[in-house]
Amino acid sequence: MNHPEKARTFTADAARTAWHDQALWFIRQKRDRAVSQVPEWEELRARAAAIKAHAMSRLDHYLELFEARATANGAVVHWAADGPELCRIVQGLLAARGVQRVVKSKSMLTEECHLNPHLEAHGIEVVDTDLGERIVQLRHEPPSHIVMPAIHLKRAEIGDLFHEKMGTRAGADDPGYLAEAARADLRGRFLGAEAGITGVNFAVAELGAVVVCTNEGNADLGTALPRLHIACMGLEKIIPRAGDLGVFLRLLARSATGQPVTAYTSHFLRPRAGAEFHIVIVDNGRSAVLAQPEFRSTLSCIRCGACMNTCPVYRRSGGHSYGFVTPGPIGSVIAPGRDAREHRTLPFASSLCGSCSDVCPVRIELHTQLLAWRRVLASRGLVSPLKLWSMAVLAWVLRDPVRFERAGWIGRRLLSALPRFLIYNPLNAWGRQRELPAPPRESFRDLYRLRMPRGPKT
Amino acid sequence: MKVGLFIPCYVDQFYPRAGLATLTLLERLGVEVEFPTAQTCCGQPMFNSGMAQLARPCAARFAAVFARYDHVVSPSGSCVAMVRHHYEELGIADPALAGLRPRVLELCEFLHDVLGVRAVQAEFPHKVGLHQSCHGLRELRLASGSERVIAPFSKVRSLLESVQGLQLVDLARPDECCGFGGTFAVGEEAVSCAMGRDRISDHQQAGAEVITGVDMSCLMHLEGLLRRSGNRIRVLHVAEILCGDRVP
Amino acid sequence: MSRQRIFDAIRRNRPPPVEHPGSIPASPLRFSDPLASFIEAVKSVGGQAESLASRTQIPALLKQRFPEAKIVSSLARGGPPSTLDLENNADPHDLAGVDLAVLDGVFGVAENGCVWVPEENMRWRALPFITQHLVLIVPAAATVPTLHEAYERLAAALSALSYGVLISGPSKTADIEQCLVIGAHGPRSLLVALVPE
Repeated sequence: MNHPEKARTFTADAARTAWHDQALWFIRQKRDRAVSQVPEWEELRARAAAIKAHAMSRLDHYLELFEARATANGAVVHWAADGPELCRIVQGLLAARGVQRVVKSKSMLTEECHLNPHLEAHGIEVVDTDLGERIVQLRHEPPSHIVMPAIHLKRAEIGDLFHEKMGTRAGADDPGYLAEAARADLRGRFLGAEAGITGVNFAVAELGAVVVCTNEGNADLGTALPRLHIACMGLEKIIPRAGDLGVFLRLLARSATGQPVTAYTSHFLRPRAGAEFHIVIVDNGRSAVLAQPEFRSTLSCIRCGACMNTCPVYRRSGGHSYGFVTPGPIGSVIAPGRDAREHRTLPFASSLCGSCSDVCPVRIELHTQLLAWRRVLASRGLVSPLKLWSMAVLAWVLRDPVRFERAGWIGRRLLSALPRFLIYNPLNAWGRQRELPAPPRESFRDLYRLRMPRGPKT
Repeated sequence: MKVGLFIPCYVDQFYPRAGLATLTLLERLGVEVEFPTAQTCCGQPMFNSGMAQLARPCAARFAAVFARYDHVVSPSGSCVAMVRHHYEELGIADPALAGLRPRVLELCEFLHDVLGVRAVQAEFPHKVGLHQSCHGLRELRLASGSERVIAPFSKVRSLLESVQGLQLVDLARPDECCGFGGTFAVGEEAVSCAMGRDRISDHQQAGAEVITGVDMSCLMHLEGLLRRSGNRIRVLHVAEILCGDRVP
Repeated sequence: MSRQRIFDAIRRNRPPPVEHPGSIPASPLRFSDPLASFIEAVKSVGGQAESLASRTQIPALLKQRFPEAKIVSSLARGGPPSTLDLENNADPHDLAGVDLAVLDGVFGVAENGCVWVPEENMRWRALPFITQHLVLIVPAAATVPTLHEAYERLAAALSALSYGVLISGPSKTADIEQCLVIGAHGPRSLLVALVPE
């Protein structure tokens, strides 16, 4: 199903659409308040973009440096060309150590690579420990947002879920009560886990360090108890220097949730005594994006989700309407790079308002890239024949001012003369909920010619 | 100074009043204005649909028609953004076009930046909601925008504030998109209309009697929703208010 | 082998070199009183802050603040006596019942209420997370304005680090309808006690 159809289904519940829109707008407002406290915000954004552009231009060097430093630190670095290889590597590490129970903190990469189903198919229990991710895991559905995975759910729905899965009181929906129940349940699972899997927010090349940001402390609890920590990262997570962390961390949480920083910013360099630390670096299509000048900057994304929170379309269509692991504007420019045919409606799921480009903390020109994708899709014959045909007719009309004027005259007369049911026919998408403009007798150029004999006023 | 007036195709056909107001306003300020009738459209509908080759003849025509003017002024932020920011991507090897692009200005931008107008002689005793059309806001930077941390400004707002009796209302979301978005309005009709209704309710709650803006396209979309629901809020292009037109 | 394939692809596809923008200029975000800003920031992220005249006041403060705490693990200089032997403890799972952990923080960050805690100050990485309540003892004079200065300060120490964490407030979640709940999986409260040195 394509985006407009799923969005139509979502918006059919107007009250819920309004609720979803307001929940995300609230976060956008929190973000606005937080960034307004930082007078050098725009300078920070420019720096972040420049650091990422530099890192991507020397990505091979920094990945080698990272690997060398991490290895010297006692970590084991693995390389995965794609999702299946990541799954094989992780499952191999777990199987070799007889691991049956794994706790995982937030990692969009492992969502992208479908790690959980792979491990479960091999008889390994994987528990997502970020509360939002745990909620959607229990519902057997994907996250609808990369920072707030359960933003599409109401507390009553979560209450019902927890009642069924964790035995909370029927009908109880107090967030404090539900979070407490999840805490009790998950702390038991942390203590019972034999391995912890985390994502990576930043990989610092000169240190061989992996930096993970959470609010719950789940990445730390999940890796500080078991004897095996596996960190999974896309190869674009590399930043050159420790000093660069200051730039990115100042941008990340403010953009994501309006917090000045996440509760925990954890720096993993060496394994704990008696424990193992593995880092899996995944390509899965990223190196190919390096070759595309117009889309390369998507590799700078720090997954803050600000473009989703500000996107008027995302807010009113929900994350699941995008049908891709990363929804919203950034997802709509990444997804067609993976499968243009499958995701061909996403670059059109935008009014091109440009708010995403202005909130992006690393200055990805998202709306420009959405437009660029439309050109790519059209050149590959992936836009609908109806759109192609109507644009060709329009272009033909506009090619000649006399033709344009005649077509306009006929159109205005038809609009005035035709009965309403013919104009507002089922094919008229504009007229489904909107009136067409009332056609004037004269066009502007008619009126201009009429007043010309009087001569222009001075 | 000779100014070429570029009237967007749909304004020409459906909103001639906005075009006339632009012409009148410019003439009243002593500008020598011409409307070359060989113009048609900037090509944005095709371009934004991904069909750059279909937009190219429009751009070539635009260059041929307007190259001889000192400035080209248009009552549309979106069409001006198309010319100024996106014609380059069409790969037209006309040196005249490269020189012309920066001289193409949205009306309020022209008044504010070129003529240095800070106040207009007009009266409009109504509560007005200013809709910040996105391309004017984020591509032409007619105002600071709520996303960025910079000193606040708004060229359109400052001109409207000089209109006697006009009271600008404060919106809860000062610059959210109305959901027009060209072919988006049709291709994503459900979301487009949801966005439009939300904009209208923001203006309504702020007490606006009239919604204005620099792009008639956004206003056409809002007007379509307003009229369908029998809402009495009217839409007027900012040029109509600045030249002293009455609510029709 | 995938490693080689990935590097081949990167070298084939990488864009022309772009310069690193260089070290970060001094932030214009200035604090006339970094310590006061730090305390305010700690409170704004859900933590508490207390200024002490000397480390000798720590045990009394904790007795007053955490009268219920039974299992206490303290590694901070001047901290209360521990009821759990951390040094000879062989397994972090034994920390599951800790009510109160008292650790030394190295410095605070004024802009966001962060406190830097390296592994050497916690003995077990699990301790500051598994404890029900966390107290960080932080030298007041060590406060830095922003994260830029924090990383400048850490520059020499980081390469020798095993693990370290910037802690800003207690653990929290807003994953249920954006309602902030303090005490997600980690500590239910964070108290930052500021000491002269």
